[in-house]
Amino acid sequence: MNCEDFESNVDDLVREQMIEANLFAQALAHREECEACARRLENQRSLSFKLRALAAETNSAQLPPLGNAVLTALRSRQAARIRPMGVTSRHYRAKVAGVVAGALAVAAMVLVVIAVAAIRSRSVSPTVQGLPNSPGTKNLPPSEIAIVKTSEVPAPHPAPLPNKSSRWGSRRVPRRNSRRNVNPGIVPVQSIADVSNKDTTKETASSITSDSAAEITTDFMPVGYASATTLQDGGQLVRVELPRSALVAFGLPMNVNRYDEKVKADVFFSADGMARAIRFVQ
Amino acid sequence: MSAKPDPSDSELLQSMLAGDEKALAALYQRRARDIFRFALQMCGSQALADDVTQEVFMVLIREGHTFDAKRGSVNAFLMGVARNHVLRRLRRERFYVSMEEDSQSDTGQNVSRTTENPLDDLSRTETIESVRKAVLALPERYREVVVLCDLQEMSYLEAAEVLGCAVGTVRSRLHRARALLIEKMRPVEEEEAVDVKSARCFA
Repeated sequence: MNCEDFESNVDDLVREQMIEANLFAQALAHREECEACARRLENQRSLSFKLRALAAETNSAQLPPLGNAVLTALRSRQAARIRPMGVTSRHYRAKVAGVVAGALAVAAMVLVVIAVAAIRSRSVSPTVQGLPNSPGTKNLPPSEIAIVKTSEVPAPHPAPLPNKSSRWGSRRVPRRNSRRNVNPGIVPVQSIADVSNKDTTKETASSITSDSAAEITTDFMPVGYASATTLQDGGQLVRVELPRSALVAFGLPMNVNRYDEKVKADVFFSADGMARAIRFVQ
Repeated sequence: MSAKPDPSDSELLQSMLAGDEKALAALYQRRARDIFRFALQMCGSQALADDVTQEVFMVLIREGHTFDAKRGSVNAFLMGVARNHVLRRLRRERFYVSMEEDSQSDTGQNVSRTTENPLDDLSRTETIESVRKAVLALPERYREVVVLCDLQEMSYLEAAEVLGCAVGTVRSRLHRARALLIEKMRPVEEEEAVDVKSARCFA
């Protein structure tokens, strides 16, 4: 062991906390050989002796008794723990208030999401609704929606009622994504020309947007003598308002007390501009 | 019939947190002396040591639930709290100068006069006072390892738990602190001898 090793281990040597016995023996051997290290060890032992004297004197100092403030703190803490329900600490109240505020924030966010979803569902483009016997519906782009005033639409001519087994049957297609018409005098019209060219038997007409929850429609009834070949070029469906006498013209009952009121109807115009079918809407 | 063993510090702490005043008294009786000695040896003021001791147990009542037995013993926890309070108070009061008479009476140098030889007493008191001044003059990071390892006779590991540092750090700080203490307590005549040697060098 050299002087450097001795110096690094001299604290352990003085404190007698050297773990390795051979290191302890080497340190003692080096002390015999090196006068400086022997003096260093002596200084350290002298210091330890003085420090022990200081520690012994400090031990004789009077320990303060347990203060009343400490006992009071313990009692108040215990009182806060056993406080009855309803009388809660400030910390607990703040915690509850935080939880309530968080719940309210989450509820507000849910309401906002629901409102946005409702608004978006109302702003969806109107759907194509097939004529009777058409199995599906199809959405049309907004560019194909026209506004037609009912005063410009001529009243359709009644025609003999078709056979029930014809393609103007009574099947009704459920309407989805419909919207309410704000102005009853102006109605949107959808073109189905491009649709009917593909499959006349399935998609031959478009639906008029209306409040599906409130409207009840009759079956489509032919106006004049329409054939399947007439409808192959497609057409337009126009929402109109007609005198109630038109109901009688198509063999439907009419309330005479409301003779001066008008009735809504969807008139299907073929590509040649002729009215081909009609259904009444309530 | 065997006597019931003394509850551990952790058990006493749990009982105290549950509101048991006897557990608080028992824990105080068991650990307050170490805290008081540490504070007294760190700051040299008995009044300040009293305050720190009470504050440590106030903190224990208030935040004793934060004690984690996996991280160390209750004693280490208490000593750590005491250390924080002592360092805080020392930093707060370092701008004040203590009155010499009060500090001498505070540190209790007139407490023990056990030997029959008054000269021995005087010498011993003088020695203790010089050591105390030397310890109090150490920087805080060296002072606390001297107090913990030499005056409180803690092991390196226990001191490391209290200080929240590595054992090697404790060892190196203690080595440096002891060297500083020896330097401060070098006898006056030895310093004069060194001066004489220096003078001869100049000649």
